[in-house]
Amino acid sequence: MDERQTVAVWFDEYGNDIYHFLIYRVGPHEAEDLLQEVFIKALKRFHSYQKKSGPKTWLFSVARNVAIDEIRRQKARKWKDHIPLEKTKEPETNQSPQSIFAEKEEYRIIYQAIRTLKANYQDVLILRGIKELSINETADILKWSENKVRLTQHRARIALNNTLRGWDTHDKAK
Amino acid sequence: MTKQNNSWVDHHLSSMPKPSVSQDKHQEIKQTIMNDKKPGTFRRYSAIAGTAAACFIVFLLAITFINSQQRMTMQSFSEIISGDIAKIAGTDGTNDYVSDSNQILQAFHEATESIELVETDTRSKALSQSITLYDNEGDKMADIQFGDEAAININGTYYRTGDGELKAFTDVFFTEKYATGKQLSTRKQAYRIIDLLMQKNMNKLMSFVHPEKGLRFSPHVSVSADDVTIPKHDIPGLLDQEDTYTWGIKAGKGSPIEMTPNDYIEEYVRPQLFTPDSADTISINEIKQRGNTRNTILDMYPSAETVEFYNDGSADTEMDWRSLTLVFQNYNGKRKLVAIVNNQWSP
Repeated sequence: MDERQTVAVWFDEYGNDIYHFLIYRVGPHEAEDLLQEVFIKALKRFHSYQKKSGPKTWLFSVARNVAIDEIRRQKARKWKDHIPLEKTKEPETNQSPQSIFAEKEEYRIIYQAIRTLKANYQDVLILRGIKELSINETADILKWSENKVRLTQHRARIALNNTLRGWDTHDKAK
Repeated sequence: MTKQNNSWVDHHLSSMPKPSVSQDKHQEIKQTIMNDKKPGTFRRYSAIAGTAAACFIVFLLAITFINSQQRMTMQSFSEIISGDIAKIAGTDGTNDYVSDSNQILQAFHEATESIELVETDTRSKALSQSITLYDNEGDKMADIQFGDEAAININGTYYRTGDGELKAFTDVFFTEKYATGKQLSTRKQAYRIIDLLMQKNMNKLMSFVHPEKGLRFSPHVSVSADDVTIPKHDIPGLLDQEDTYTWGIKAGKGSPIEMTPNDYIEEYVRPQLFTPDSADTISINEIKQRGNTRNTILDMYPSAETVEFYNDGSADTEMDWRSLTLVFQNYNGKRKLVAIVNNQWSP
């Protein structure tokens, strides 16, 4: 199998996993286009893939870099337009969460709450919580120690909980 | 959503929607993977250009293949340093700079976006500038050292890169606007140097050294012109040298101190005894006569600034005290290190 065939097989196998990561990390609107970018990048960077980590975690690492670049671009666009960056309104996708989250209001709320958290927390909640990857795999993707994964996940859960609780109280007050 | 605890969070996260990519998009991406040759504009060129390019690619592939055994793969900045950068601190060797402003973060991303890095075993000698990247939590993400050469060190690994590619960034960052203040205080500068000696970070140490006088090492306070003096640009590779130098004469015995620079630092300089926490006394610009060797630091370096770290050793004997003096002189208005002078009990 040549590089293209290998990457195409990886796409069949892990395309959806990467897609999920991108939906939650960048937004459902951008996820499909970025998914293509991830696999094109994987093809271009094929030589830097080291077998020891396995294609799945490697693809997640590539996806994370693509996501970070995209978020930078989004921020840059905002600065260029002189629109001050407000945390609560960060990604445009928050206002249009598409049909993916339409099934249950709860999904939309949790998705929005995740998006308000800091980048490290988002990464660990998506990989460990939503994608249910192992601590070892997550450490490999994020290039953290396993301990840092545990600790950050613990803090991220608390942060998510607090955000949701904050919104809940706010709603009740209304 | 009232009951909220950790397992509640885990349960809800794992049941969040995980849709599949649409069939159309799946097909489209797969076709792109199988057909993507080169970036868009390339395709517009004629068959001749295409053939020429193909030959060139074959040539490049051959080169890549030949070099693959030397780990010569091209990497981008974001592949090496992943994560969202929230703050950048740096030094040009004289001043410190720090910023978390959007302008600086953006300037960094723009400057690094197109840099391509190739890992190398060659250790570059003149990386006098450095920056440190921090994430949102204030955790260190990366230490980057660079200079005028086409080389860069990221977290201890050396990479080849284009000439001065970070210049677009440092031109904006290493400016008055982001300087953390005036020059570091003598004390802080001395602490920094002790720390760098401890870490054996000679690359960074180089930036503190006097460009013309170099760095003199003396095992006792009667400093003389015969003591080993290392030119500034030889500092980074100093600890890798396997040649032995004669650093002075052993107190009491009269035999020469002959050892490699690395052994000398470990046996005579002993920075770990002189950190702010380990030293018993730190004297600034105050020469204290200790032991019976005449102190000639100020004869050798008139109007020098000195910082002496003194460790009085164990409580039950007065014979194992040691001291380390850092000697600075002014160079173009900047305080530069000219000598590291040690002292210890001698019979």
